Amino acid sequence: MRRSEQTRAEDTLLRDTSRRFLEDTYAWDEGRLRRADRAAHWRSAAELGWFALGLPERLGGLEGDGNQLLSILEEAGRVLHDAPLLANVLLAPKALSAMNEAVAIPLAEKLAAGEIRFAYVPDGSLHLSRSTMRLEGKGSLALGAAEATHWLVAVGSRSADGASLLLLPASDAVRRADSRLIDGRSASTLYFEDLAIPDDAVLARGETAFRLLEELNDRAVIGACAEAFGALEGGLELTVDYVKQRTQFGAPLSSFQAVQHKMAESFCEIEQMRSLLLWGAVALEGSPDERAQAASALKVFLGREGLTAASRCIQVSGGIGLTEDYRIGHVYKRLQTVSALFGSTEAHIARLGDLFIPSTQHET
Amino acid sequence: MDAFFTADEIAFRDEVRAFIRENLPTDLAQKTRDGIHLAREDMARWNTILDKRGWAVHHWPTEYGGPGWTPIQRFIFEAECASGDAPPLSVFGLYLVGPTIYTFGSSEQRARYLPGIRSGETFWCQGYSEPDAGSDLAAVRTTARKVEGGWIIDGSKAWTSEGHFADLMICLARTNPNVKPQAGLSLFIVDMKDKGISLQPVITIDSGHSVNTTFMDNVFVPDDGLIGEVDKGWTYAKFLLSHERTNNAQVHRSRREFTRLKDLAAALPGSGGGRLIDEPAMCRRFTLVEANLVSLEITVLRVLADQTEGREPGPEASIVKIIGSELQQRITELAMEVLGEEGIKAEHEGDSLLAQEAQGWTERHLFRRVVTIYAGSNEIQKTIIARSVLGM
Repeated sequence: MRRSEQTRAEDTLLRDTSRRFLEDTYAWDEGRLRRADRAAHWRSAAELGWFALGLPERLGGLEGDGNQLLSILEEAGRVLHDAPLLANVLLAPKALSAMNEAVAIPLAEKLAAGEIRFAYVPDGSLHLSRSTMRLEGKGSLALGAAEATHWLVAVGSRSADGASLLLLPASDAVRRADSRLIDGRSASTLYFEDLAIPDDAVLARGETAFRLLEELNDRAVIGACAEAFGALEGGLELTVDYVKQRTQFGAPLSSFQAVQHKMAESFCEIEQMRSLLLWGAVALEGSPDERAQAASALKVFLGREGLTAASRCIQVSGGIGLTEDYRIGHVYKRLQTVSALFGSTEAHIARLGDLFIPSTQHET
Repeated sequence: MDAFFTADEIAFRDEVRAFIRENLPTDLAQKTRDGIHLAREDMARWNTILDKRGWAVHHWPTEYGGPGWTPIQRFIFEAECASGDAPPLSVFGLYLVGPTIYTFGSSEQRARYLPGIRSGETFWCQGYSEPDAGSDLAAVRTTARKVEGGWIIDGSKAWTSEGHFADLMICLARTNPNVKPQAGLSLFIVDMKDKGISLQPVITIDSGHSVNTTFMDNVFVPDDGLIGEVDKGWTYAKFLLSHERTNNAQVHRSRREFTRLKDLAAALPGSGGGRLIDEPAMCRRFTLVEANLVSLEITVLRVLADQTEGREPGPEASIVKIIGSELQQRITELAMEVLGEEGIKAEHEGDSLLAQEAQGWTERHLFRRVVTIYAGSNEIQKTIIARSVLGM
């Protein structure tokens, strides 16, 4: 259990190694995409153990805890990483843990080695017919679906009756509308039109699937917020450095109290978000209720205070904050993106309300 | 938030909870629920009960009577006291004066003053602020002049909370006018019964009397009333502030009040026939406060966990006063929304739930404007963060 971000030595080592690797090979600048060899980068990440970290020992994994997994995503967020790490670091290991071992072991090996890639396809309007085993409907935006080899598809997530979790090989037979998101990442909407689903593609159904889908989506929320948090923390550091150097009216911007207070306010919000992230990390292994509360609280905080903190950074940076060549705008776009994914801010406020405020109306 | 606590800590929580259930008199709990300014006897009664169990000075070192708890245990203890509606203990004696005396005082001062604080028999007040030295504490003008066998203090102190029933004051006075403002201050123990002391009540916007202006005219303090060394008062005062950073967040009081407010909004009817709390706009506001409250709780816990586990707390320690005080105000602002028209009446008639609850909430709401001002206004806290944490 970690109640402070000042954690034990191996955590610090993992974080420092990750940060160095990312800054050496994938630091953010406007030319990164042209230069980067993304396939080689993914292999290096696998060699560092990023995809084995979340797997249990029985699947050949390193059995890392929530803080360790989130620290990788945070560090990736700092450099505004654009590859689909979230699904492969935090979600696929969980789904594989829930599978039959005979099937899971070879998949886990390949995931750990960086040879296969998963994408998480959140539920949109998906429906799997129990009688015909045909899948209909569309998913919500799925990060990295175009470059994935396997799709984890959440179906019928609104009720235990219709819920199932599918593992499908990525296929051109499925209609895919690819989009570039405002934060530079790629995502796709998948349209399933009467697709036949073999029995062995169904990892879970009914009540078990319902609980697993909730867990996967909470993990997606917590992980995406960890990435956004890393971006925001890096963004505040960048902005504080900038206002110390930028001179107007004969003095550095950092000497003006109006600017100081804005940065202090953003600092307060970022530290509170770090607190919620610590909660999210322990809650990844906690009870379903606690995990749901932590995930939704984090998402709500990110979509409100987090975005406010980022917008203040643009404000004090002035005109340069509006330019595509400068990083802070991309931090803002990352936060805006995360706040729309895996359930909107308002949707999570409503969910949190149901969890926090016991309602007689909901009990019926 | 149970995931944050160990099994031992949960067991400790149960022990504290059971003790409070069995030992807190019901009338004291009711008084705590009803108003914000408790009488001296009420606070003393609970202090004495805790002292018999060895829990009154729970944050003091064992050599001065503390129970030897970790900071996390103290967090749990305070949370349980708040949720059981135990009266708040006197802030000045337990949190300010006690630690000042056992850290900087002489062994005679420790023997003379600490037992009274521990048992709740002696009440203290704080004489730091002045009419012209509020947030700018270094501007203190009260003087202490050396005379044979002691000091003569002259000046006035502002915002003396509980001064009208305190026995003693810890007083910051200027002993050296010829050095920079912070360097010439000293800390004294002043007897509030001295004939040179007079008090003028200050009625706050909640119509309550808890603070005073204290005038000191030729007040004699013997030599053994000086704490530590002369001219070191500023250093002592700052040392203590840095060691009691989490107390200002009032996180447990906020949790308790928010729970009570939720209960109230669940008991009141909404306009559509259901419960007030189930109206979407109301539910949304409660939810947003909850998200902020839980983030405050964890932030405080982070600071205490660092202390428990032997680390120097990180920069988050500097934000708890700001976010804790803002949250206290948000809770009572929400209470006013819940109370509606009942909340704006100066007197409340009848025995309806609304009438019974309104008085306390309205008082709290008005008086709580103070929390973003006292203990270093939030603007000062922000400037400190910008300078010392962000290096601006």
